[in-house]
Amino acid sequence: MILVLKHYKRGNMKYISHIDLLRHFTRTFRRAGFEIEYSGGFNPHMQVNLGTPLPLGISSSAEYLTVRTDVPKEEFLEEYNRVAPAGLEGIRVFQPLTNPNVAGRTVAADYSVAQSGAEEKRREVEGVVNLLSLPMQIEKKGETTVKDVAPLINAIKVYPGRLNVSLAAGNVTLRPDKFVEFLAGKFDFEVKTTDLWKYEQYVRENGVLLEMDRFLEKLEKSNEETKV
Amino acid sequence: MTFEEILLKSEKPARYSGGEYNTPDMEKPCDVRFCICMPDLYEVGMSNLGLKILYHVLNDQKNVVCERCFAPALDFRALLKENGIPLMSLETKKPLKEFDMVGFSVQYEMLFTGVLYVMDAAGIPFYAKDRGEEYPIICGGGPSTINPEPIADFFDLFMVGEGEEMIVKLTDLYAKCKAAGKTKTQFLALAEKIEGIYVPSRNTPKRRKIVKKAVVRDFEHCFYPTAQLMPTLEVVHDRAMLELYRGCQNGCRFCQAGYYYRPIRFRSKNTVKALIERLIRETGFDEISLGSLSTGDYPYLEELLSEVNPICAKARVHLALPSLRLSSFKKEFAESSRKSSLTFAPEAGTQRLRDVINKNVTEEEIRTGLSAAFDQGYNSVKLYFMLGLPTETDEDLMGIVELVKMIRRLYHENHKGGVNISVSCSVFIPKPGTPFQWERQITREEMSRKQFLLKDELRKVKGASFHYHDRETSELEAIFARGDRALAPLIELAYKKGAMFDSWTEHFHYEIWEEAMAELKIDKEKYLGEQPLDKPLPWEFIDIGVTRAFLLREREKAYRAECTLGCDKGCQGCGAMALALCDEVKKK
Repeated sequence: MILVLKHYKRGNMKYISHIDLLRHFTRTFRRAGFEIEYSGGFNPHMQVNLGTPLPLGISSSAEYLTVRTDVPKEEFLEEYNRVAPAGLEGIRVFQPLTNPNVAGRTVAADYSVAQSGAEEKRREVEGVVNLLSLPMQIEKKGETTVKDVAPLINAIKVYPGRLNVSLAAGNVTLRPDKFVEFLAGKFDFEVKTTDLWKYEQYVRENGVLLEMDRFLEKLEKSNEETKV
Repeated sequence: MTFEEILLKSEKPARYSGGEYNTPDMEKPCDVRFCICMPDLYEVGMSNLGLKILYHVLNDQKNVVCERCFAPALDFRALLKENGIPLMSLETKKPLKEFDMVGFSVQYEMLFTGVLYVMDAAGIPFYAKDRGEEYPIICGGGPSTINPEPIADFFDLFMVGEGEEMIVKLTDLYAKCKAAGKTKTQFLALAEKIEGIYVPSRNTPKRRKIVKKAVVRDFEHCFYPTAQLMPTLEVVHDRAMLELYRGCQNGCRFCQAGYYYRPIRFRSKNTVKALIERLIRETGFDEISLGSLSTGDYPYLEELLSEVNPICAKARVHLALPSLRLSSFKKEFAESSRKSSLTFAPEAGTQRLRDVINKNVTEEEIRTGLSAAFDQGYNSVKLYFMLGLPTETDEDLMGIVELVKMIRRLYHENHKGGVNISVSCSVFIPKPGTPFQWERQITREEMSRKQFLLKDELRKVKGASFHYHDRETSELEAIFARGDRALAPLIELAYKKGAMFDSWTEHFHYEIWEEAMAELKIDKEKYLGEQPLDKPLPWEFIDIGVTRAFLLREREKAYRAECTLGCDKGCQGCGAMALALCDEVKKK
């Protein structure tokens, strides 16, 4: 059967790269004594499907990984948490009837960053979401390109001390750390990217965004192919 | 910038963040705060078994908290410097300076500058004489303490030999001295009385006292951590390591470890099995390496494998058997290992030279061993040799080529397709504590001639590839291996001129060392040439158990190309039994 583990990535674990993360899970599952399905072939490896990669340094309370195993759902969470590294604690386990393909289906995520000085510019900052075009300089492997990021922004909200943004994530991604720094530079306020959290992620269903948890709950009840 | 911001600016923040699974309680009240420091990167340091043993043995003590620190990579070092932050421990981010004791694990000679690099980053003066009461006790340990003289002036004390029992005695003493308000000098005077502790300021070339190496007498029951720290990022040896036994039966005359880790002490099959089961449960590693100096010579290996293979297969854990001798290569072992490539070390190309170095392996054994391996499906062989061994001639070098040709023919007798034979040649370094400690090292010109001769000859053999060690590194290693206290200023000057991470090819610049030697008028020939037999060598105050008389006898036998049988065939009287009972003798 398929199990999806919703877990944190926080504390010291936020510095772990996507590749190293996989190693932590396979070791944790072995410590828990779980029998997880392995790949076949010449060099079999434990099949753990991670969700969309989270850039280094960002914390999250909404990460999802998928495995095939016969460990009962309730036992899985309890036993996992008994031997999980601090910072990768499990939050909830789902038992979808079909493979949810979390990484492939994710289209957006919500983030929250500590800020100071954005309250005074709330209207302008939040107004960015209505812009038809927003050119942003993006540095990648030493090269700087300019990209129109307007289509990648779903929402921007300023709260006392925090700035929340909802951005494209998945196959098309806007890096939240780079984007909030860009906003801070543009409107002259401060963001603290060492305090940047991802707290929600979404799939698109019938054209609207649906929280990952809701999506997985639906899959637990029905194995009908959901429309993407 | 805050520390967290610096972390995010560094290449690999996980190197410095800490927070590994199985980290012991860092908050408990304690009398001694110890920091174990490996003067190399996290990935290298976290691969070291000794470090893990000592870390956990200390944290197991009621009154001690032990943390870790590794050498920062150059980018992180620069960030720390820019922001005026001293080097800190991984666990609680405490500056190194504020610890009671800092213990450097010096694995080998090329890490000497690493020690200074770490001290520099931590704001600790290099020389022991320049450090007052406000600084931690700087301790040294690890295999290079068989001759600590080149770095003696930098350290307050050394732990010579096996650390797991000695280090507890040391922290106990420290706790007592601290409670009694004793000074550093008073503490060092008392520490010197512990077996294995060497205090360079109180034990000088002019006034020598013998320092006896510490050994664990009851290896079967000695501390071994199964709930080991799990590295946060991929490290060089990313697996659990378990020692089957200490010491080695074989007595290869060039091998320092073979003499230094005597006497032989085995772990019983049942203990090893129980430890493997706990390692699987407590670490979750997918690979366990059963280590020793010669794993094939572990007397209970076959029985052990037949019992643990099913357990490991169920948990999908791979058992690795490094350091197999060709003569001990058996079908069962091959079956339990992954069929990637086989690595064997004949060390010399002709039987005569193998007899000189007492590498008890014959061409016939090579044939039988490799035949078995090829039948198992292996088609890739890695061979290690040494160049510049005592009495070596070109005939011995051509012997390497002949051996490679023979292996190729052997493969094609029964197998189709190609066989890869990779030949790796290091350069012989005369090492303290071996029968060859008085020998000369060949010059760089000789090294280069021998290397190119082999390169030309092996190029003609299909399927063979040839790798050889860097000449400059081999020379510097030889200088330090047999160095004395006159070399401390050299290490200091070279470091100041920019030498660091000398074990990393891309960071090694021999010109810096040559320049520093010229400035200090250090004659390298003194260290590289043949050493006189009639005077004590700089490190001979360290008693490793094996006697000078035994080493001299082995040296004579080497010149006569005469073999000495392994300890399993009968005691050869090396002298190490004076330290602890040898299990090979106990067996009989």
